[in-house]
Amino acid sequence: MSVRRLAAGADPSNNRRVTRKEWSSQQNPVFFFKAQSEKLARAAPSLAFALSVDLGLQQPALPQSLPGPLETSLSSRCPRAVRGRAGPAACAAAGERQWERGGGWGTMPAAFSGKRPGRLLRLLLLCLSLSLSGGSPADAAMTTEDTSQSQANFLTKMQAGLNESSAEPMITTGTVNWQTQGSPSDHLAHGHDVSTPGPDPTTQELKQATKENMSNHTFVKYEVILPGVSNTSIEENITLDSATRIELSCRLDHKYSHLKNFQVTWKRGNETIRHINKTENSWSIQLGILDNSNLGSYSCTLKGEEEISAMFHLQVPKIEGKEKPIVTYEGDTAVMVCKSFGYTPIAWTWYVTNGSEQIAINDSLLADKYVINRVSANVTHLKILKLTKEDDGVYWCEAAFELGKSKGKLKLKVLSFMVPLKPFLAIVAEAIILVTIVFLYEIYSKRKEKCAEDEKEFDQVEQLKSEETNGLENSSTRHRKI
Amino acid sequence: MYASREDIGYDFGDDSKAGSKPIKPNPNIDGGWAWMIVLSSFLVHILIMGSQMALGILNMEWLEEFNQSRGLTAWVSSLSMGITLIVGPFIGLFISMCGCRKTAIIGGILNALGWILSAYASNVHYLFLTFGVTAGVGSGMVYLPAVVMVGQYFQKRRALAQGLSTTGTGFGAFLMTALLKYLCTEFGWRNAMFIQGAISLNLCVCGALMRPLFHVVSEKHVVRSNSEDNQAKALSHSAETIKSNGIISEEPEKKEEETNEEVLDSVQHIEIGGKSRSGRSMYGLRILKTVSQLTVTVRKGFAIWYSSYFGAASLFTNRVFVAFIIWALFAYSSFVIPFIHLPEIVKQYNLSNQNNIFPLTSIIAIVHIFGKVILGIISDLPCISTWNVFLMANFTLVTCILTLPLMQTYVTLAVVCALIGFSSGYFSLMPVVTEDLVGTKHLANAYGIIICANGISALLGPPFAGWIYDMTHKYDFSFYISGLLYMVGIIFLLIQPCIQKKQPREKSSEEAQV
Repeated sequence: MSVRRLAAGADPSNNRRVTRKEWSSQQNPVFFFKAQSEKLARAAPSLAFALSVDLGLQQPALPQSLPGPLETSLSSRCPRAVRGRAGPAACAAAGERQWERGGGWGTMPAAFSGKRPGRLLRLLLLCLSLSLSGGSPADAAMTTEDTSQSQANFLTKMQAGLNESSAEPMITTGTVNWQTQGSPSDHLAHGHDVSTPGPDPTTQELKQATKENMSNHTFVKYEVILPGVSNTSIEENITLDSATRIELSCRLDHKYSHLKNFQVTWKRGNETIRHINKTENSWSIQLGILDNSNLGSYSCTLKGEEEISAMFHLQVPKIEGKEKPIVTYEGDTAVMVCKSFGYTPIAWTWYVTNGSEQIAINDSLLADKYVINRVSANVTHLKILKLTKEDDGVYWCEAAFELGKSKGKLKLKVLSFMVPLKPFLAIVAEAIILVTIVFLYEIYSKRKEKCAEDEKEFDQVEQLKSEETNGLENSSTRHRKI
Repeated sequence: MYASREDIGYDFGDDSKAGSKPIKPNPNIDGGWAWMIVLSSFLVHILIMGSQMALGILNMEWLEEFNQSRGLTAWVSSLSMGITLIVGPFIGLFISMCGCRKTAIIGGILNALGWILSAYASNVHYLFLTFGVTAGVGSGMVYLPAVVMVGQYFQKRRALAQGLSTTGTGFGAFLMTALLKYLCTEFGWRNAMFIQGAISLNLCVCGALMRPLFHVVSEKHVVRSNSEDNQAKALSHSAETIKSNGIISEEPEKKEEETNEEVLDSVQHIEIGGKSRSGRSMYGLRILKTVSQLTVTVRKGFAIWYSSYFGAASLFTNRVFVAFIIWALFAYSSFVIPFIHLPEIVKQYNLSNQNNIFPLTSIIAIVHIFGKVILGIISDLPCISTWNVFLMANFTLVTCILTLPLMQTYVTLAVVCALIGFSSGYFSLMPVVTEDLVGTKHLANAYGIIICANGISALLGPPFAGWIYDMTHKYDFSFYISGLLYMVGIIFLLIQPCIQKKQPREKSSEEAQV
């Protein structure tokens, strides 16, 4: 099953017909990539593109044709199940199938060694460039659904909560045209069967978002494609930082449309929500998220012979702290940094943990101890002066968004100067003692040897003396000792 | 034996008693204190090589702290390792001047200093200087004496002893990694390096254990019987064949020089004793004597070192040795390439699950330890020549490297990795082979050059592998190319029978005597 955010944005400034000729002329993928990213950078922030790129194609292609750093962001593009189980080969195979279904592209070799530049590479790289340049949802184009029906580009989003995206090229013969066909759901229904080969029937997640301007709120649509099998649980995390109108829909893959006699329920916890039967195979609810109470988990359940369900988790953006403690010394100054990625909070608050409770830090009250600095919109600094042992502990930075608050944890460790010094001195002392012992032992054993040798020599001298009893002068004694 | 003064025992009194005194092999060779030397070398390997392997942890900390590029931060650790090996020849100079023990102790202090100073680093370039250079030179100053001492103290069981002491690398990797990790989490990385400096001071203990070897009477014998007895009697020096005949004949000259020196000193001593008893003049004369001794030592040590590299009897005239150096240049660079690419190969063939249970690199490491000891035992057997074992191990290794790209399942990869681990145990044989080629006396200088070659290839290997990969974008080519380079190196080894002109005759005569 897959999740799609329906994209219906059309930015007129970016409408283009990409012809096959144009594509094939740009043979060098790297240059193409650069050119595209430049174009994107120049384009208006309200960029509305959507690409559907075969996820499978990306995995084997990238290590060979593109520099390293891109690899990591794109390896996540391979369908999760495929990635986990069958590997890049399956991705490629999935890609093959997908291209076949998409029509008009022909069979792609599984090892996409970059030997077929042109259309596919351009597609790939276009998607890449978009994903890398993708900004916050605020940058996304807002166009209505109606306008999406005209020649449109689709939007790909990289958001905090979304880790995979895909889009679909609408390929007609002769020219490559980014077009919607009818309603978004029709478009989605058209030839984009991203089911993975063989034993993995599930979890290729696709999203497309539609954003509309409706009065003051943004309008976001999320769609999940349900699998026919009930053993997998599908969950989707959606991050919202300001008031939105949201539409969540569950769609049954047309592959499984043979299933009849089922009931669909949308729930939040125990409370049932009325849903709209948008099409024969999809059901959706519309919600207005205005404050914290509306956030939570919403689920849609298909009860038939088997029970299939999907969950949407609506959350505020998360703040990351640091797992490693910051090591400081007594009398020093410590600066703790908290960052929010992608979303701008309204306000920041710092808490210190005293025992089991959290106390807000008031920097105006204790100005000579704490200094709170909002360095930029998304970053906050807490400076603690004149550290003491009591400052050791856990600190929290809290970002307040319109829809709620989220916290990040930071640990501070305050050491006295003696703490690392003690093991150091202990080990140095141990080394010196050992060296002394070794040398003393050597001197001792040398002396013993010398004594033993002297005795032996003495015995030998006696022997020789007894041998040479004829009075021959024994000159050896004179030469012996020096 | 080195002809540095401290290493020779002061027992030259019996000039007239030539031939009647029995040969007394030093009881410490192949037993007794020799095992303490093995222990000392083992500890040196743990502390030095172990710390090198554990630098991965510190590398991450430095990346976080200094926010520099990965390449630049990685240079600190590779610089440290490279310098440890590359300064080998210069450490030979130190050893010729002061002897192994003093070099090791100074090296230990230098290494500790490097670690302690690095704890106060404010940027990566500072780290280059303190950690890369200082700690690297210090490590080099301890590493070479450790290997050389084991070579001196063992004649019959040399390979086994070297093998045992080099297993310290493997243990050290585990030990130091765990230790550094604990110290970093407990105190932060700066204090961890600070404490690690203290731990490096234990290298001085290892240095103190390196008691110089006194060759008492057998040396005298070599002095007297210069010609045909030379080889027979000198068997107490080395059980294997002595390939460099010229070295032995050099020794007696040095001994006589020293004898004269000693006599001179004793005369001075008597003179001083007989003269005025005023403390001041005695004191002054004593200082003069020490200074003169020092300058003599330094000059002599320098002369030995210089002569072994540039003189007529230099090591480089020994053609087999030159071939060996060239081999060393090629072998090391090809060896590190599999290690670099193994994780990526695992990912490519999707063997992550099996790899997590039993990583391939651990297979190599564990089998490597066993390989060292077993190959050491095998080559110590009198019927088997070390050179042959060495060659065979090399062949196995190059075959494995060349066939590794063809393996695609976990089992076959594991088998090939086990073979690689086992055959790379020949590292323990390298000092033995070197000693066979050049003799015990020049072991320090010779082995210094060898590890310098190793260091150069260790520094160049990883970037070379990365460069090949960037060009071809496939792992296979780096393996094939490194395998080819390795073959070239081995070919140099194989031409040994051709370039050995005089040796075969000597060998046959020696065997006849034995």
